[in-house]
Amino acid sequence: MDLSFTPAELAFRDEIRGWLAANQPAEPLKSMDTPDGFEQHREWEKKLFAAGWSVPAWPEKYGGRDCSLVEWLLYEEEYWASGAPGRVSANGVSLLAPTIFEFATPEQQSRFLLPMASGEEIWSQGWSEPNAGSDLAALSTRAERDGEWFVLNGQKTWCSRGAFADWFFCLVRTDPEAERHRGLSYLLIPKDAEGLVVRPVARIDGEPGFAELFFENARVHESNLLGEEGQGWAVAMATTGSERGLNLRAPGRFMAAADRLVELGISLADASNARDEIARCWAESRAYRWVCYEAAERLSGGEALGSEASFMKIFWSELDVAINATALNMLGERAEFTADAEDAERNGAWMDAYLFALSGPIYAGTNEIQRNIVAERVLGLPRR
Amino acid sequence: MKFAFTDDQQVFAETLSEVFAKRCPPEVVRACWDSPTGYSEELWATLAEMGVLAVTAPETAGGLGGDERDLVQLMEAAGRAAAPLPLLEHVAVGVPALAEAAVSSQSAERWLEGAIAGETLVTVGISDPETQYANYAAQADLAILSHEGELYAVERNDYQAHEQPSVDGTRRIARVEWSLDSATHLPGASDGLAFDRGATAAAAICVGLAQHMLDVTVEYVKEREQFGKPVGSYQAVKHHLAEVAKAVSFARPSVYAAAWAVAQNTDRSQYVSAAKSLASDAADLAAAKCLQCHGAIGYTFEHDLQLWLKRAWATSVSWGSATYHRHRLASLLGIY
Repeated sequence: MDLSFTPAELAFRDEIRGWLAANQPAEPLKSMDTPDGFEQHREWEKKLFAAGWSVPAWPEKYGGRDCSLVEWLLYEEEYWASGAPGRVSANGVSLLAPTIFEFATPEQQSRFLLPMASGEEIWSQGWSEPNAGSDLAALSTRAERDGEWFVLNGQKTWCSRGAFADWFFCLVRTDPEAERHRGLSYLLIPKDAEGLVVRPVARIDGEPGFAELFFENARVHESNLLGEEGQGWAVAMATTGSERGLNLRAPGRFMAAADRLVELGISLADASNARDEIARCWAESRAYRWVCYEAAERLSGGEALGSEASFMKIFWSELDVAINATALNMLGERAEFTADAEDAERNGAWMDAYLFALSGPIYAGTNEIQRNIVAERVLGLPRR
Repeated sequence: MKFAFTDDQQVFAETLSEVFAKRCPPEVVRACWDSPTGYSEELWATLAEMGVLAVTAPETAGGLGGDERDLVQLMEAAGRAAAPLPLLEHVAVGVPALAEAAVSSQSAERWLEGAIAGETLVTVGISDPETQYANYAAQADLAILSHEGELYAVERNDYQAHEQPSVDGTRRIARVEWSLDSATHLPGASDGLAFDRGATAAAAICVGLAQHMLDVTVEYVKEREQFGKPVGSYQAVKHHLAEVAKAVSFARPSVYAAAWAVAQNTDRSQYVSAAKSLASDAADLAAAKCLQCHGAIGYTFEHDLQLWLKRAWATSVSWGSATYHRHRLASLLGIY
C-alpha cells in the first residue's frame, strides 16, 4: 500500500492544473439551465475538447487521452478545485457513453462519440415517466415496429438538460406482451424527430432544468437502437452502475465543496458551533476519495463494481446535502439571500448548491431504493 | 497510488484471521471477563510464537521491521473476533515507542527485547492527552506514560495501578499513579506519534467490531421470523443494516489510509482524526442498529452480541471519541 502518486500521475495532474489556471472563463457562466447559459457551457465544452481535456479517460480516437482511472480521479479533483464550470455534457459523457462503448455497433460509435466529446451534441436521459419513477420497469412508452422504423407513443419526464439538449437516450417498450423488465429497448432519439414535442419544466430553482417529452407517432430509425431489441433493461443497467458509482460523481467534486466549507469556517470570526459538522463533511469527502481510489484499483484489475455503486450514490448524495446545509447554517440570516442580494455570500452560491444537492437523494434511483439494493444484493437479505 | 496490501501482508492477515476464528470463539472472550488478567494468555503466547509481537520492531533489534500497514489488518481481525488481547497497547504503540528510544537508551533496548520475546508486557497510558488511565496497567511489566509531550517508561514496581471496572469485562483499565523520579525518559519517542498510532489501531479495531456485528445481525434477521416471514425482509430492518454496511465500507479505506499516513508521517494527524472519527461512528452505529435488529435477545447477558457491543462502546471513545477527533481535525484545518 502506497498512497503517493507516481511521477507520471503527478505530471498529469500538473498539466491539467496548469491548463485550467490559464483557460478558466474570466466571468462565471450563466446557469446551464438557461438558453444563454446552456450555449456558454457548450462553448466551454468545445474549448475543453480542443485541448483534449473534455473526456481524458476515453480512447484518443474519440478525443480522449486514454488516461488511467487514477489519473481521471486526479483530473476530477483538479477540475472541481479550480472552480471551473459545471459540465453540461455530463449526462451523455457519464451515463450514455459507457453504454455506447459496451453495446453500440462500430457505426454507432463513430457516429455518436466524437460529437458528444466535443459538445456539438448534448444528451439528455429519457427514462422516467409520470407513472414510472423508482419503479422504472413499469414504463409504458410504446415503440412499435414499422419496417426499419420504430413508431413511438407515450411520455417521458424529468429529463435533465432536456430543454436544450440535442439528443435523448430513452428506454421504451417494444414488446407489450412481455412483462416489466422484458420487452424493453434502448433508443437514441434526436430532438427533431418527427412526432416528438419537448416541453421545458422548471426545476425547484425556477430554471428549466427539466423537460418532458411527448411522443405522438414519433418515428425513430432502427439504426438508433442501442443493443438488441428487447434487451433494453440489460443495456440500461450497465449505465446505472456508472450513474451511481464513481463515474457520474467523482470525489473531486465533494472534496472541493468540503474545502470551500473549510474556507468559509476559517473566514468566520467564530465558527465554533460548526466545527464538528465541518470536520465531519471534510472527513467524509476524503472517505469517498479513498473508497474511489480503492475501487479504481479493483476496476483496473478487471473486477466489476456491481451493487457497491449503490453505497456510493447514497454516500455522495447525502454528503452533498450535508456540506451545503452546514454552510447555510453558518451563514445564518444571510443564508436565504440569492445572487441578486448585495450581501449574499459568494453570490448565493451556497443556496444554489443546496437546491441542486437536494435532487441527489432522489435522482438515479432514490436513496431508499439504493438501500434496498444494498440490503438485498450486498448483504443478501430476502427480497420479500 | 496503490491500495492493495502486499502478498505477505495479505497472507499474514488471513493467517491471523484463521487463528482468531479457531482460537478465539465467543467462549474465550467471555471467559476473560472473569480471568485475573482480562486477556487470553494462551492466545497471546500463540501470537508471540508467530512473531506478532515483533512486527513493529526493527530488524536490527530482532523484529520484523514492519509498520502500521503491516498491523492495520491484524487490528481489524482482532476487532472482528473481539480478541481480548493487549495488541493495541503492546504491539501498536508500546513496541514502536521503545524501538525509537532504544537507539540511544540501553534500558529501552532491554525492554524492547523483552517485549518482542513476550516476557515484558507493555502498556501505555496516553490514550488521551490528559488521561490518568491505562489498560492492563496492573497486569503489565512496564507502562509508557506521557508528561509534557515526552514519553517515559515506568516499571511495574514503581507505579500504582487502581483498577476501574469497565462496561466491557475484558478490559482492565486502571488509574496510574507514578512520579518522574522513578521514570525513565524515552528519548526520540514522541507522544503525538504514539497517540496517532494508538488511535489508528483503535480505528481498525472499531471497523472489525462493526463488521462482525453487521455479519451476525444479517444472519440473525434472515432466520428470525415474525408475521410469517424473516424480519430481514422488512424495509425498516434492511435500511438499518444498509446504513451500517455503508458506514463500515466508507470507514475502512480511510483507516487504511491513516495507517499509510502514520507510516509515512505525511499529514499524519489529519488522516488519523478523519479515520478514527469515521470508525468510531461506524462502531457506534453498528452497535445501536445491530442491538435494535436483534430485539430483546440482543439485550441479554447470555447472548454473545453484548461482548461486541461493550467492546465497541469502549473502543469508540478511547484514543479519542469521534467528537474529539472531529474537533482536532477542525483545528488542524485552521477552524476555530
